[in-house]
Amino acid sequence: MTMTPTPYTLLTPLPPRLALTASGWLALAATALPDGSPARIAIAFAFMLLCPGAAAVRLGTAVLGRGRDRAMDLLEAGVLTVAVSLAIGALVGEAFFVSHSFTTTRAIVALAVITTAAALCPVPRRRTTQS
Amino acid sequence: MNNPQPTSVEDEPDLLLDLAATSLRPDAATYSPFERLEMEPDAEAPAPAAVGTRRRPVLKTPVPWPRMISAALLLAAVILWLLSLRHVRLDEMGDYGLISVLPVTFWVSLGLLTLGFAVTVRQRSVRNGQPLLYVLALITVLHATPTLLYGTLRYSWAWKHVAIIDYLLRHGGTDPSNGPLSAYNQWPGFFAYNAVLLRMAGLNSALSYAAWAPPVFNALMIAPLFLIFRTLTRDRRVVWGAIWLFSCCEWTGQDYFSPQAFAFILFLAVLGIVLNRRNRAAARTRPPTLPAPSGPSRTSVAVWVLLLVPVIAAIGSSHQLTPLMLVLALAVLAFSRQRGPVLLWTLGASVAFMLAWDGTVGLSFIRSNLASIVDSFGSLDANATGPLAGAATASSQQQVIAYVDTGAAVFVALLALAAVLLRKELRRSSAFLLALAPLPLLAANNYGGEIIFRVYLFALPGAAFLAAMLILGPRRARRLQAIAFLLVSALTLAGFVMPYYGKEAENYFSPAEVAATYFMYQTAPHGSMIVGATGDYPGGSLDYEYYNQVSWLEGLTAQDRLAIEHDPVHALQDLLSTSATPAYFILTKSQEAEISIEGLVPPATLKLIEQIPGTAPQFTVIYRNADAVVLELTPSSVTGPQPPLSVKKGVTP
Repeated sequence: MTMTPTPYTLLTPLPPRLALTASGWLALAATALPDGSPARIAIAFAFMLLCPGAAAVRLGTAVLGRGRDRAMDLLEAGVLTVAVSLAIGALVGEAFFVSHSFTTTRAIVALAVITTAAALCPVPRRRTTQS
Repeated sequence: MNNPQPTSVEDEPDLLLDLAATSLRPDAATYSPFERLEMEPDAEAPAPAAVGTRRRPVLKTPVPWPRMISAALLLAAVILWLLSLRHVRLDEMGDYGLISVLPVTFWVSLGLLTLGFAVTVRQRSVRNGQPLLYVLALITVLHATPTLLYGTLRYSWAWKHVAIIDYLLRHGGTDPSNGPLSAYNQWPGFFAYNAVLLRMAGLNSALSYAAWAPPVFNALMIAPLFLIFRTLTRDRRVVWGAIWLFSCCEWTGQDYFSPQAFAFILFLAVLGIVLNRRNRAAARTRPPTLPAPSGPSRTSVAVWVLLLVPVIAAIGSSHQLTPLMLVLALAVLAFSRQRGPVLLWTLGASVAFMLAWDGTVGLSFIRSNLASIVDSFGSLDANATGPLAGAATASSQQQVIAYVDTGAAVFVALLALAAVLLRKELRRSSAFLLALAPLPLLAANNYGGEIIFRVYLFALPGAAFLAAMLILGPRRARRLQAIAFLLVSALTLAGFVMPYYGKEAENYFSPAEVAATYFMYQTAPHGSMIVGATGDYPGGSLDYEYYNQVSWLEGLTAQDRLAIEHDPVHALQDLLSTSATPAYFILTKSQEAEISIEGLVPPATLKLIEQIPGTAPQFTVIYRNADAVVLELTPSSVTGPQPPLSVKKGVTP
């Protein structure tokens, strides 16, 4: 079997990817809510724990394709989603704090842009053909 | 391999989907979605049906009685635990900490959980749901109990970590000075994450959720541990047994609101992914029953490594020790027969990032601590026996605890050793390599006297798996296995509660102590000197850049100790007079507990120190409640030149 790269496609269904895209901007919009309101806390925790990682995993899954030895199983995806979310949140925060340029808006916009890019980035489709 | 093979490439199931479907699978105990594992399958497992054989649909399967008993025990344990949380008198904590005040129902609850889990692993067919609930219940009982009982943040170090986050948010950047907290500012990943989270959620302080870190962090470890262990065996009894034993043996207290706990979860995640990818790669190289697949493409390797790079970077920029542990673990795995490109590239990325961070952002800390790092290098004996040496001056109860936790660590090590001695195939297991990987650090560094505990923690996943294989592995009667597992669980839990709950008299801060600390910070002008009897009080580092903070009785030289024992009042007066500003002294119940427990000064000296408030005219009592007192050095008692007062600060800590 050979894997033949073909034109770009969007393997993951669109609604989850749009939801991921919206999540960061929703977190930004939620900062307009009163400090510490339950909705704002829930959005912030859910976003910081899941969304950047879920978008990165979506992108990785799309590139890997569906081959037996390549595909990511659900447990791997779940572990990576949380780990990459924690990591990206930490790295973005570090970049601003180490450079002494932190503001809440900058940090959330950076995270939202990363999440959006990973969620929407098109990837080459791998088509399996019999050799 | 006596497991059913997926009939085609497309049939490979996802694990969690598989978990959800297990209730419909009579062969659930042995079914595995993985092609290659290090261990052979359970010899006692029922032989699966031939591939492609149609099974008759089972309309109604009676629930096995062990599963019902197990469920009943779980329910009873949870109810008893909830009941045990009522009427706990925290103010009566003695030298054995929380152990001395928890009611019988708490211990019965823990016993029922242990018994119920043993019943669970006795079953031939283990589903994931029940052991998962048991592990979650165990984590809740062990780690949520202090959180629910205390109502305040436990551990003075957790308060320091909250203070670092507050600093980041006050200044919008890390602290460039090379002070005592510089390590946190030069490895700020964990704090930066929480600072962003706080601002996004609109919360004032991490105090609002930090107390829940131990149960949450431990729960977050379950999935990565499952990911690691499932690459080593297809027997779910062993996988869950290993996770259970890990939870029973993780008493080192590194799971609180801290960068090390954050980095440890990421460490487990990287290992889990790397081991899974390695096994998949190994499956590709042994295709007797499968159609020959394509080789590992550079693209797929790149994808996995790129997904892991941010995690590696977060580990490397959050904690000093964990990147080293990660490199060691990946390095020993790289020496095994099965490597795989993902493992090698991940190892390379880990080494590169660690060197890059330590050579840039972390360089000033490493420079200033180079002497102590070099001094402790090669001192295997001193590094490994630090805790027992420190116990020499401690109270008799704490000496017992020190010996119990050493014994608990030795017990786990012996179980792991017995496993590799009795079962030859485990000698080439990755679990054995992972258990050995951290050991070189025993000789390399002292890590503030804690290196033995850190090595134990990082060796624990591998050791817990080996212990679980020893007890629950194939070729033994399941009833005997369950009894052995029950006994080992009970022993390891006894080894858990002594070190984990035994020092709670110093780790618990009452609301009165918190109130006293806040009063002091609201009263003391910026630039003041703040002396704690020890550093063990809540909020000891709040607004730390504005104060000269000193822990009086910690790290004393022999000469200082003699001076304090001779005349504590004048020793304290001399210390407070060294500051060119107003000076304050705080003495709390938890500090007194620490002084007594650790034996920092003799009991007679402690009694004299406790008598200072109200009796020594050199000090004015400015705040007092049931658990704490705050003194200010009376201006006329300053032995040096009296400094001008600085402007009163307007920040509420």
